[in-house]
Amino acid sequence: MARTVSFITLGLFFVSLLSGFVILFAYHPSSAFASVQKIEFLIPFGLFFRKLHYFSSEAFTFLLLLHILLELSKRKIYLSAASWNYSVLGFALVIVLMFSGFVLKADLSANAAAQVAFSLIKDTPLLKNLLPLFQDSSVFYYKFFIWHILFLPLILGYAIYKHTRALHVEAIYFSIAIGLSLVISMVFSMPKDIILSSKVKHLSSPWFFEGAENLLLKSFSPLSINLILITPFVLLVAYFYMKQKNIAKILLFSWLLAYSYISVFLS
Amino acid sequence: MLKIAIFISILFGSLLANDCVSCHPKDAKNCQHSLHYTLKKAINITRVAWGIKDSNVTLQTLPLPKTDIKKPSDLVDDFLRRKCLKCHLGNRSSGEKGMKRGKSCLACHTPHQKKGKCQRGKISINKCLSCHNKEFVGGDYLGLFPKDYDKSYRAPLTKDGRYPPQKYGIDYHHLSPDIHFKKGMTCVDCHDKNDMQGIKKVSCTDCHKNLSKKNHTAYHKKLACSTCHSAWNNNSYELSVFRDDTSDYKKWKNLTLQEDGYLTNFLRIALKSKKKIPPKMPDWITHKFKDGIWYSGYRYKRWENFNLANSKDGRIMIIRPLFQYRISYRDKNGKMILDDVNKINGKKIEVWLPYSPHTISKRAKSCESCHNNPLIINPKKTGYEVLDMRLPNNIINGSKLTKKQIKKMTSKRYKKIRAKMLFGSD
Amino acid sequence: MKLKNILSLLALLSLFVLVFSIFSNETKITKKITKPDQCMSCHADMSDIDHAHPKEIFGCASCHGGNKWATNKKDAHRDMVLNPARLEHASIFCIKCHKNIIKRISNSMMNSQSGILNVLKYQWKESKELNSTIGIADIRGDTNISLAQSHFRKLCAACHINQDEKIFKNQKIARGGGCSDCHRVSKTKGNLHAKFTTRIPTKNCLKCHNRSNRIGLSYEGVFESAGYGTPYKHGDFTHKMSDGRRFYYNLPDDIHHKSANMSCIDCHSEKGVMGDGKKHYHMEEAEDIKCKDCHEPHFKKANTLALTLADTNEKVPEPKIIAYTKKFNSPLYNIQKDGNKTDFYRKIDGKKFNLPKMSDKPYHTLAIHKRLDCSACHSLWAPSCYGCHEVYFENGKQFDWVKRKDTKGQWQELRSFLRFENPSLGIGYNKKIMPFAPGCQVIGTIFKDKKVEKFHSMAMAGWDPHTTQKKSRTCVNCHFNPSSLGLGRGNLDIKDGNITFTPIYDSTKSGMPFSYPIDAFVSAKGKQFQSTSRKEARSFNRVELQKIVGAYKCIICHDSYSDKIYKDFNKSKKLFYSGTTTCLK
Repeated sequence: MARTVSFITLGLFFVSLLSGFVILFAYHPSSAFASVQKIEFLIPFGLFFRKLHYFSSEAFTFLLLLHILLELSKRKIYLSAASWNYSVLGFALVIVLMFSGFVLKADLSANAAAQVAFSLIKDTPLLKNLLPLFQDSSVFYYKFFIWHILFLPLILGYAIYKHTRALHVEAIYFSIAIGLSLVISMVFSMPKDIILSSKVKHLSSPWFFEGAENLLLKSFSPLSINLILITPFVLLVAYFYMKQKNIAKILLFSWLLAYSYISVFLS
Repeated sequence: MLKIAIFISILFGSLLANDCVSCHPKDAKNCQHSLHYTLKKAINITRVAWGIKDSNVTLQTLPLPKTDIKKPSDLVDDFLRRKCLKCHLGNRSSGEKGMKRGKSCLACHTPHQKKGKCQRGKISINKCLSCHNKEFVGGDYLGLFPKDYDKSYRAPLTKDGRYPPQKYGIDYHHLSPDIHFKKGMTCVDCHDKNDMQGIKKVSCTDCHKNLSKKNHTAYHKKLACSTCHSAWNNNSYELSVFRDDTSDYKKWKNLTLQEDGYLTNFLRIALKSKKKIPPKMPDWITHKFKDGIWYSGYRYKRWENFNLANSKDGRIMIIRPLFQYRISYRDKNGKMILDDVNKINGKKIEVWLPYSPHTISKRAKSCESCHNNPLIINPKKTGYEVLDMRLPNNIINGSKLTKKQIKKMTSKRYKKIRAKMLFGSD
Repeated sequence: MKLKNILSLLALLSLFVLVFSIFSNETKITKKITKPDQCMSCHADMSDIDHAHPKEIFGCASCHGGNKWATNKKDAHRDMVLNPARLEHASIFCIKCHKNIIKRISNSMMNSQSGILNVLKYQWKESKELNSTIGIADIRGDTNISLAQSHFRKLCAACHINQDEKIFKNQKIARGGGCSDCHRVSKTKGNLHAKFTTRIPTKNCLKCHNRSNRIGLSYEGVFESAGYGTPYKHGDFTHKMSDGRRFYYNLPDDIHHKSANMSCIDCHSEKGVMGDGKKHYHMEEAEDIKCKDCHEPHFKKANTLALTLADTNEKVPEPKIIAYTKKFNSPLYNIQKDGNKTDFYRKIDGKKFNLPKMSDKPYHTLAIHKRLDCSACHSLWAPSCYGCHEVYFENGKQFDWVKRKDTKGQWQELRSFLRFENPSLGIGYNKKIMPFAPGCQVIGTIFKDKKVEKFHSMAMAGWDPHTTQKKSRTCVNCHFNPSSLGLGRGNLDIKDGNITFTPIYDSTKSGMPFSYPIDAFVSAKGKQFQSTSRKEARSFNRVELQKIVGAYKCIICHDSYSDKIYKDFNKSKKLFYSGTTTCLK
């Protein structure tokens, strides 16, 4: 079971990678929203690949979470210290990738999410020095684009390589992954892009970011929010070295519960 | 004619029944010549205005209204009977509060609370005002000026939040009353028996004999007293009257108060009723209901404007329009037989009458009220209907001021005298 | 291994699709995009809004929002705006080009109605602050609603430019819509887009300016009548106003209307109407134009704004040397210098008229009348509505124009009488003498459950009634007319050197809660009876009344301005009293 999940997860990673590769050429950071709309409405199969990219990525993230939960439930860790740490890094990178992908759709909610992220970074000591890595004065989406299509996938690829020790997937799982993505793409529809000129009372951020935004609305300081966000990764790293694994497990689980609660009920 | 004869006999019947004539045969005979009895003036002025030549009828000889209506003169008798002649010695009431009277002699000579008893001594003001309460002389003596008809003019509300109580079915503005009223005098203090019976008309100088020479100068000797001493006067411009034989009442919902108690009550019921109520209004002489409702409305009213004219007896008097008619008639089938007719043979249906406003104040009008009154010294048409209707036209019992007279009013002599008067008092 | 092949095959396939779609179809895709936006593929036959916003350049989405790339109706119309001219939308769409104007109009009084609201609160003694910029937007969320605010919400607030047009039951008198309240001249019908213009017809101004001081009506010579609806024609009332409830009659219209059929916009500059960006307390602070700006113009070269305005107007010829307003220095591009002549171009159709200059005859130059506003002499009449009897039913229900729904509390208006002749004079907001009329004489009755409360607030307001005539009022019409002096209607005279006045109206007996005549602004002794709506505004005082009426003694004979005694009136008076003149001899 756990093994199947992990392979399908990897398969989904490849689907996401390939579908992303297709639409990346039609994406122009300088006219980001227009190009997204062109992909959706004008380019043949544009909408198909966009949906495929969207749903495969979402499914990948969910299965990754499931994969982590399943592995944590096992008593024994089969990974070395280095590859464990690479794995946690990979998990963090997936979240960042998801977030940058959300921003790159360039609609009103993406814009708002980016602004929220910027202000989170800006008002946190040390972290604020990283701002130039994401902010571009002339083309807003340029650096997000570079990170999303180049560096993040490369580093993630390396992390996965370190995690699985081989960067390949058996064809059967890959097919399942493709099949799964296709089915989801056919059945569900993506959330609609929100035109920049429209007046919407509530803009939704990416689902994993809702909690942070709610905390911000309750006027938590950016530093504390950042700490909250980093907590699970730190716990995951600590998990490997801790003898009382159950404590880490409980901590992780309670974090998950707390964050879910904040995400859902605190708005 | 037969009906009229019957009516007269009824009227005298009531006189006899009250047994007044047996003791006062002379008064009863004199009464028959009085205007209260014949209403000759009101009837004939209106009939002439509406296009009947040389009309000389009385209440008693007023013909029955015509049924085939083509021009205003065909309608005038109907209008008189149903709209104007609500007040005559043979009619006890037309529905308004405070307007109930006895018949014939008892119309004046009875306090209405003591049924059947003769009034001894003075006739109260209320008695007179039970008829003389509209735009004509009477109400003005008390300072009453009928308000505009629209419902929204029934302000101000009283302390307990009600519309102010109506008198005679009319809402009034209260203006400055006559000095004689303020001093406690009633109508009959001046208008005595001889005056009422048309034997000798009362005049101010009957009482006020020694007038100061300083103020009552030779150059003003032609002026009637009221010309200077009236504080205000009633100018109700342009009366539109409309006989409607259809039951189209809805649009009158804000205009139910038309100084006509019967109409007010009728419209109140008709507007509330779910059933279709046929338009009926009584003939106040025969007391029979007939088809059609008479509606009316002025163009506007003023108390501060006035105009002058020479009266028949050579005095300069204030004149007023009575009235400037615009006549409409819609028959049962909704056909407009007369549609806003305001001219007959090119001549306006309009009568101006010299009169004495009973709004006397001790202090006379300032010289400027006349000598600088643009309506008097510069009676030029402006081309605006509403303004031009203030200029007199078709004066009865009098004539317009001559150009010479008008010129005199702004002469150097006047200016010098007036200036001296103002500086002299400095 | 087989599946691995499938994998590579799929990868290749997708790459192929990519290449195929992007590179070989690039031209096809650009062709597919209709210019300037996808909306045009359905709405190509929609007509232009005006000549400044051609659809070939602006498309639909730049104003109406929506998804201009979308190829289906549902996606295209998502989050679309039907009327982008409403200010909350205009601040997203129109503001892209008309940045200043949107800000200015948002702060203007036609949007905030702060003038009405604050004067009302001041007059009803709910606020001591007459100068405040609190407007509709600031009270929208108020829950504790005072009497004045309730009155404002239910009777006044219908008229502001950002009102929602759809809430009017009678669409004939619908107002609001933001920019379109004024600038729209026709409604959208089928594929005919609503037409917009800068040649705003008077009709649009009259949507609102037909009540209260009624300048829009007065300008056209329309006076709200006493409600008789006479004369009757075709068995019905005549002279109905557009709202179908009120009646009018025709009086002399303004000379500008009569002689050249000028529209409001011919005088009122864009800055005067749409504001200068600041929040003002009162109308006169926002107002730009003065009579002298045209009738005693000072000319300068046309600036770029003038050229732009003339260009959007389309009818007025290109301006070269034009007049500017004194206050805001805004260009009057339709007042153009032509040699020694001054040409006035009617903005609606560009028709040329000769603009008469203010004459330098004694009546305009003599020092004795330097305190007079033009309107004091040249306004023939002013709509004067005496007695504004307000009845408030606390348990009633009435439409709240701010909340835009029925709320508790109901107002009803009653009145005493109307006049238009000889408007009172007084010291106006500009400290000059100008016409006054009731504004407003509120005599209120409040029904609270079973209790009845009364209150009153009597005020006169001064304004230019927009009934300008070429011929001024006569000397006597001011100097010896009780109504013009503000005493009310009655008998004015001089006795022993003192002004005496006997009023006609008896307020006490007529049931008013005060004893002075309702039409009296001031007593003959100079005691002011009624308040005003400005700190500077007041009635004449005792000294002024004495002076004005005193001068009448001379006017009797010296009834012309060109009379030499007026050149130095004080000197003439001295000479007269020294007995060295031939006067009265």
